[in-house]
Amino acid sequence: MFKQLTNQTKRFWSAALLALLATFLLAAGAFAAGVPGAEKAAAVAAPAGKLHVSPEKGAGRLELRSVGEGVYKGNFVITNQGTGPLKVVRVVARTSAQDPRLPKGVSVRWAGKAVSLAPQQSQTVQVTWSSAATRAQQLFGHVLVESDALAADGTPGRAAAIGIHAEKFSGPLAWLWSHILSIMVFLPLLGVVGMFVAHLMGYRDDKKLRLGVLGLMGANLALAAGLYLKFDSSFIKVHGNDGYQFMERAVWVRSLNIEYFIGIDGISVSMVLLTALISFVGVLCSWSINKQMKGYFAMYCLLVTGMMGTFVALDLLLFFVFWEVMLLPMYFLIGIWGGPRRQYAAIKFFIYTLSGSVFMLLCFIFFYLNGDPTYLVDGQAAAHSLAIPELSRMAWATKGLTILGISAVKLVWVWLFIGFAIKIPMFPFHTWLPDAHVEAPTAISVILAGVLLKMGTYGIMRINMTILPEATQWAAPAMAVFGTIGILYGAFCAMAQKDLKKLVAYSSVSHMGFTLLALGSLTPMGIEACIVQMFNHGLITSMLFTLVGVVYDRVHTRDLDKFGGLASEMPLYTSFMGFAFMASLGLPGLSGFWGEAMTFIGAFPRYRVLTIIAATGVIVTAAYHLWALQRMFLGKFREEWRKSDYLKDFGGKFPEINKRELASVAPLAVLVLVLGFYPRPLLNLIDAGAAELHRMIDKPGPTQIAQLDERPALPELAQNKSADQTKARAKQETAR
Amino acid sequence: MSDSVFFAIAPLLVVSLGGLLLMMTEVFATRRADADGPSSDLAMGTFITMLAGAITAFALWLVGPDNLAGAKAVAPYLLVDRFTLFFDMVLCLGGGIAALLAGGYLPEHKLDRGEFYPLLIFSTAGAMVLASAGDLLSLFIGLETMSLGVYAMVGFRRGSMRSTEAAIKYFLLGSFAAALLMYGGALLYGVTGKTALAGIGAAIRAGVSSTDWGILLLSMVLILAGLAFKVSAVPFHMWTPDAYEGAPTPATSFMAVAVKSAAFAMMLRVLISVFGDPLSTSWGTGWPPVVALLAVLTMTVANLVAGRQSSVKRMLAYSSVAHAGYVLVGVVALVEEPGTAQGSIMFYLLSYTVSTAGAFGALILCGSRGKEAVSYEDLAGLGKRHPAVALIFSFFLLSLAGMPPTAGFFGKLYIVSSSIGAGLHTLAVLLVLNSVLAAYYYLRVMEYMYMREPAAGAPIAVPMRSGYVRAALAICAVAVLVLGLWPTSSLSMAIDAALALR
Repeated sequence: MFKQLTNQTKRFWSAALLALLATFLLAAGAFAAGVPGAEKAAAVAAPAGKLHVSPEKGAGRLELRSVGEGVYKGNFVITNQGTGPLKVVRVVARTSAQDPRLPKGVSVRWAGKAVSLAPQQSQTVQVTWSSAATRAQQLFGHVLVESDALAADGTPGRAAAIGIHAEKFSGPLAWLWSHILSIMVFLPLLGVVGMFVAHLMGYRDDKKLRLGVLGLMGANLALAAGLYLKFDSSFIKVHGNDGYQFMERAVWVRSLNIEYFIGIDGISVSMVLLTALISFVGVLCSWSINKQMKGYFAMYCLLVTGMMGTFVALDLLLFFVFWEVMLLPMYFLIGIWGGPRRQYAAIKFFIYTLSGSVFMLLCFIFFYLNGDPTYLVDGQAAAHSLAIPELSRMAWATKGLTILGISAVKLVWVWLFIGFAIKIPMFPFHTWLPDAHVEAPTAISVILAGVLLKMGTYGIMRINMTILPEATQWAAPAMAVFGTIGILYGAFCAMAQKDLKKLVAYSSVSHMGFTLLALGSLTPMGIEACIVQMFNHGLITSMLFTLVGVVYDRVHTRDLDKFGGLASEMPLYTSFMGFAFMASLGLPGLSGFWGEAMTFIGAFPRYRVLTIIAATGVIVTAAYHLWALQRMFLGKFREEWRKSDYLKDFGGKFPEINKRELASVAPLAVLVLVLGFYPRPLLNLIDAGAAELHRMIDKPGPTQIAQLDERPALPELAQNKSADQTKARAKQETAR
Repeated sequence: MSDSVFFAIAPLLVVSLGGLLLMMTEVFATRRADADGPSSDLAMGTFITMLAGAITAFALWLVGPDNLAGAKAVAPYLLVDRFTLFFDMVLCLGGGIAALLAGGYLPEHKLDRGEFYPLLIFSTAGAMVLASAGDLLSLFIGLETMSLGVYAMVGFRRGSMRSTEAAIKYFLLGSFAAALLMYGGALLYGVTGKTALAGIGAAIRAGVSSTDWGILLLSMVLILAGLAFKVSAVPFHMWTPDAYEGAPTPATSFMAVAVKSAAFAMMLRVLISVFGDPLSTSWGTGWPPVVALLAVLTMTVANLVAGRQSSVKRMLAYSSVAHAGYVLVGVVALVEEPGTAQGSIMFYLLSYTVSTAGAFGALILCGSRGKEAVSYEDLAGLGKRHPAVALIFSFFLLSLAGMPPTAGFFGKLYIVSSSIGAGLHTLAVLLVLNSVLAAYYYLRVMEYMYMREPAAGAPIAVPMRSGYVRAALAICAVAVLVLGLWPTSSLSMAIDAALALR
């Protein structure tokens, strides 16, 4: 009998415990149902009205429905949930000439000037959006309801808000258009899942998996093309939605007022397109990866999600999450699939970026804690917010905040800037870049130079400049100086390199210096030059790294001095390399020219000396490019290569660039050529966004060369946050 | 029934009764020689007990502690409030996971003796008493009940010198710390004539003579020192790495999560209800500068030392010391932002519990008998040989490092946010710099697992197979992910649970 006891015991006492558990749960349930306490507490207060708003059907945000001819309607209900009377004083949509939140044409119909509601009585309000008057494709906003209700602490004038939302996109693809950014961000995650499943199932057909990833990125590229066609390049703030398009907005973490808030404007759209393109090219470049190929592509896809998300996130914390999500796959991609010193390079990259980003996080928390009250997308009142448009409306400079005795605005600006400058990488923080590039596999170098570096500049534009315009003006000269140092330092370092990849890496430092100089000028042309340079540098450097990868794949060295006379061996490759080098040194007629030329034009009026110094950098740039070209491709071919092991399989001859490699370079080359002769398509995308950013940070002044945006609707733009205008307004008032 | 005392202290009763039941089963069960050891059913039993405890605590939470008439009968010895209930849940979670880990670990390493589980349960019960204690007496009883069990668990590997040394060290230093606490308590009683924490606090607030204030300061220092021992803050952390390394890993995990959480609960309760008066919470005359110094030392020293370790288990031990430092930053923020700071501390402890228990669990899973994962080298190439184990280990390490989207990220975010809100900018900066330091040694584990190959002939870790350990890891992983993606409800619970300061 005892021999059986183990099992019996087990059964006996699990049953006993479960019974015990059940008893307690039942008791708790019964008890909770009959608890008299909870309601009692509420009833003690004096009779007072309590304002409550909700959609007529459902809860949360009010979705407006189309009633035809571009008119959208929806009803919501104001209810008095209190015990006393409630007087509704005002119902208004948050839109006005000064307020770029809502698109035009939103109107609210309700019973009159003031309505008294008895307890539990309610009143229906109709919200209408006549969308014909506006270019906006979407409506995100709030309707405010103000009443005389008392808050719990006795303060009068309680207001409530309800979020309103409508989508104008129609046709069979309506759903796609209204969620296109989310799709583009999370589509690559399918690749991660796919690789994981393939691993679990022991699927071994690497070629098909590769094609699958290529298809995924191709789909993303197709979506990007759609986005390009559908993007309204002249949509700016006055049209509503704070100037953002393809927005999606929902509450993510309510306790911290974090929203899932994404959208693009003229600043980010080119980066999204670039990311889609480069990540597609990157797959082609990683064709030869065989070691742990599933893991590689899983990490690659995760990386793409992180990059795409960073460029579309409009909530600071969401931005941060994507920023960090991108960090980790990069660490693994360099650390596992990299060159001989890969661990060192990977951890250096990680620690550098992380130390920048933790300071960024501190700044975000600062913004959060010191921000003004606002409403979340569904209308819930929030004491603080992390949404970039909301934060950029707040007057940070006039708050007079200090941290440890230093002006908080300046300190926060500098911290944020360092976080981004590490990524760019700006001159004293650049040392991780050559290491990372040299050790990273080709495709990762391509991604790193093509997209990741742009996140730094993008972050400065999106966060530093829009939220802290005054501090940006204060710091702009420093930006320009560091940019100029970067241009020259990068160029000279590049000249000293023997490793071709290191040369290209330092040329990145130099080229990204232009973006900083351009940004520092704060002129519309300068800001536009920055974005143009970012885009073109993305194309050209990706091409360069791909081409470097081609020769490295063949002979496993990148030492310039070991080559020579390759032109006769690989004529096609040589011509591509020459093309890429010419583009990189800024030959007119190729796209690299525009970024540099516009930078000089934009920066010259503000910083004459700096611009002249920077311009000498172009000479050095030309020098190292041409010298490298000469060392590698011209002169006599070294005959000892013929006997080397690497070329044994190819009959002692350098094999020409193959079709797959051509396929990864050709689209970039075509774009570089087209944008070189006809940059309008790119500039069109950027124009309005750059002008808009400029309007936020700078006043029109004598130094300004061109007023890019001469719309007649100037009075509506009075929302300029520049300190001068505020001062001018104050002067007028005192004069009165 | 609703007015019954038993109802009010149900979580504690459930756990204790479960422990008694288990002990009886273990005593009366005879096993065939070829049958599985006692772990085979005791582990699951212990887990169910803990789960029942947690669920009961949650049920009481839903009922609302204010509605528990029976709670008055045990006050002030045991206070039943949301603070207690929250910690009950965290402690039961930590204990339950430790039980599951033990279910896999003990048989694998031939330590399979049934005593471990009752010890674990009674320790947890002691920790629960500690978290709910509102009187110096019950506080001490809880502390000792918890500690005795843990002493025994640390020395569970009887044949091993290391384990014995760890147990003796822990026992001596632990008793010493308890004595300090006791002495501080005695002084408090001497000044105020009361043993109930609230009573002492009220007496201090009512004003004390300057001589008495001197004695109070002394007692504050003694109590802080005792508390610092228990949460293993630098410079009172010397026992931690040895005890953590020598103990069987499930016991280490229990010490790192449950014992530490309970100690922090005690710390919060004592600092808030006894030393919550304006004088004690001022930067000139009170505990904030001391705790701030402890926090800075703890974070920095622990992170620097952790980076130098060659044993992964020791590294995790130092990392748990460092995490105590982060929490101490939150403790300093209590003065200015009592609500959010406490909420952030409690959320942090919750997220830390699941991540740390997960990390220790993953470490257990990485090794098997004779092929344990101890040093970094043991883990070399694990990512290739056993991708699933390496993946889950990395996941918990990332949570400890505070990378989004994991629980650790939001935990750190809340702590930093509450400390900046309290105006502690320097501490916040030091905290984030430290988290960069910490990222280095967490990444090093991943570097070995994924980027290195084992040296020829070097010992390599061979993962064990155990459903229990896997179940524990699954629970932790889900919790880490859920807390990292949707932290709202657990955070608002943590904030609801905050004690009122002053």
